[in-house]
Amino acid sequence: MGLGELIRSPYLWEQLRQASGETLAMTFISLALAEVIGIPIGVWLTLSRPGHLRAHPAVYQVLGTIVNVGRSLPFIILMVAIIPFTRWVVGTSIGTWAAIVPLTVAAIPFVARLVETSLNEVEWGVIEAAQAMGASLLQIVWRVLLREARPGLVAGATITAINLIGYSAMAGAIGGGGLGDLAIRYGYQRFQPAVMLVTLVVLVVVVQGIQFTGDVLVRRLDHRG
Amino acid sequence: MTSTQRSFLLSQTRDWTPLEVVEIATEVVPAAASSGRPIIEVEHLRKSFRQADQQVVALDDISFQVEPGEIFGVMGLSGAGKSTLIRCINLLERPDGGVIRVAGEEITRLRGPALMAARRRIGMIFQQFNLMASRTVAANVAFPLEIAGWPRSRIRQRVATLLELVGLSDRANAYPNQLSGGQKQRVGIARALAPEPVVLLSDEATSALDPETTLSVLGLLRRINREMGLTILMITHEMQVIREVCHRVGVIDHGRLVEVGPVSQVFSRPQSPMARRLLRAHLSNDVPADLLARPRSDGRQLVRLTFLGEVAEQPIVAQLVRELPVLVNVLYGRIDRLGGQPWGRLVVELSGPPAAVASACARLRREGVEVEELGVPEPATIQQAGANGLGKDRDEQDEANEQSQLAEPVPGVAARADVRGGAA
Repeated sequence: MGLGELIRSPYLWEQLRQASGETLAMTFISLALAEVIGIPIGVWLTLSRPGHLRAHPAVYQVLGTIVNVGRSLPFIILMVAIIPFTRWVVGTSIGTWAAIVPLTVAAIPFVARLVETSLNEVEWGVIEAAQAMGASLLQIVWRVLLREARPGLVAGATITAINLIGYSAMAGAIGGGGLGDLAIRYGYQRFQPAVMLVTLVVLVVVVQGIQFTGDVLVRRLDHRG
Repeated sequence: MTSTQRSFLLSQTRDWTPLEVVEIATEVVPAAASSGRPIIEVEHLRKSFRQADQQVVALDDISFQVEPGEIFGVMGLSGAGKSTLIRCINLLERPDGGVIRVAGEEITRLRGPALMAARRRIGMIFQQFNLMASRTVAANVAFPLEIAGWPRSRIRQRVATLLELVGLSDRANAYPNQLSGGQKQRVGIARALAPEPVVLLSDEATSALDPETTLSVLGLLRRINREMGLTILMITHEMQVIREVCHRVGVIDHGRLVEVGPVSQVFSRPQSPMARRLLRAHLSNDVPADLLARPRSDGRQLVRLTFLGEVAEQPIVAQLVRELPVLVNVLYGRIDRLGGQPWGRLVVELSGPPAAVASACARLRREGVEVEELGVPEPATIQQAGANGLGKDRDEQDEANEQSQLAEPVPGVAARADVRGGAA
């Protein structure tokens, strides 16, 4: 099928529309879940860091090691390895929801590290000023650390989202669907380079859109410097 | 601008604006000073740090009291322990031993929520301001009230009042990065005052500001002290700051409090070697070296006269000339206020029969004037003024800054300014 033919084919447009929906669902649902779980871990990492408010070298070491192990597993292997867990959570090991589980698990340590990095950029003097004003630990975390770090947190979430789009392409391997899956099945396995091309264009547009939105948000939130 | 240039400019500004600036220096004995119990009591405070496998003593058995309504300054070189001391008052550092009471409450015993509640009664301002970049000016001032659980409507009112007080009502919705250093510190002051504290701690609050801004921030602090009767404990390495606003001063040297007294007393008659060292540049730089070096014929004696308090207002020198066969040639003079007390210093040449010169000196001493006979120039003051700290890294700059406190400002400038002061 040539490019001209492809553009006129309603079947492929339908395929493309559905695949895009799956990709976005996989990306943003797992991003949201990973942030919800990863932010507290990042906060815990920050607070337990030597010299910080709840410095605890052992906790910091153990937590840091777990995060590193999680980040060093190749996604395709992680995805297969945790199939029993996935099945336990969503009741199946095939489909978009089954892909969201490993995507989330893979993104959590990534998010935790990015959150830790952002929180560490908050000036210590500002934290001390809050302490001096009688703020509790929870108030410092919520109203100072996370708030002051917002530009960094949004920038980190943007990176995570784009990474998840890349990972979601592999989710095709367990029937997760999505743009990557479409590109592989039609473009590669059925020798239709035109499909491959269109899919890639859509992916590039999606990634650009996410990056652009993230940048705008960061700029709006950032009052530093 | 380097810190050395700053401290130089600061002293220069002070010298060139002697009267109007000096005049606002408090003559007032703190209003609430008579109400009995000290508001800050520090007893046998000790603190040491572990540093590269050895204990470094930062505070060594420090005891002092701050009276309600006064501005108490602590001065010392960098690393003397000033910062640790002020951070112990609200337990940002927990001392190893000793007792601290603020408004009668034993801070050093508190933990958890009780400590948080106590900290809300102790305001603090910082050298680097420590404002939250993500919050507007108004939201920064509102922060301590939010965490204390004030209702929104009361917060809004209180913030408006405070911004009015510090003169930033029109910048309420600006972010800190849109403000100048002086404005940032004003926000810091408004924020510290928001929960109506009983004392204000000032940790080198003007050290990052230029001389002019420093004066205006100090003016604000003095106004707050006078109008609200708020007690202020401040640490600084800038002698001008102490002289400008403090009533009493403590001197820290290697973790020990070596001297405490009214600013007028410590500045005019420093007892400890550290106080003398810190103040040498500030007060004894008034004899130009060429004056001292000039050959002097017999029967002429160069003396430095220091007047403090009432003596400074009496026509003592005029009487001297009228009643003894001596001539007084004023070479150099400076009149100022220290902690609200009139203070004057003259370098004069007395000439006449040796016996008459001697009895003139004795008589001045009887009148309460401090008389120092000068002859040989003091070594090593001029050369140090050359260390201007340009292009040096931070540590070196700090060191140069310390040195510049010991050194004279450029002699020519100081001399001109001082002659002006003397003529006034």
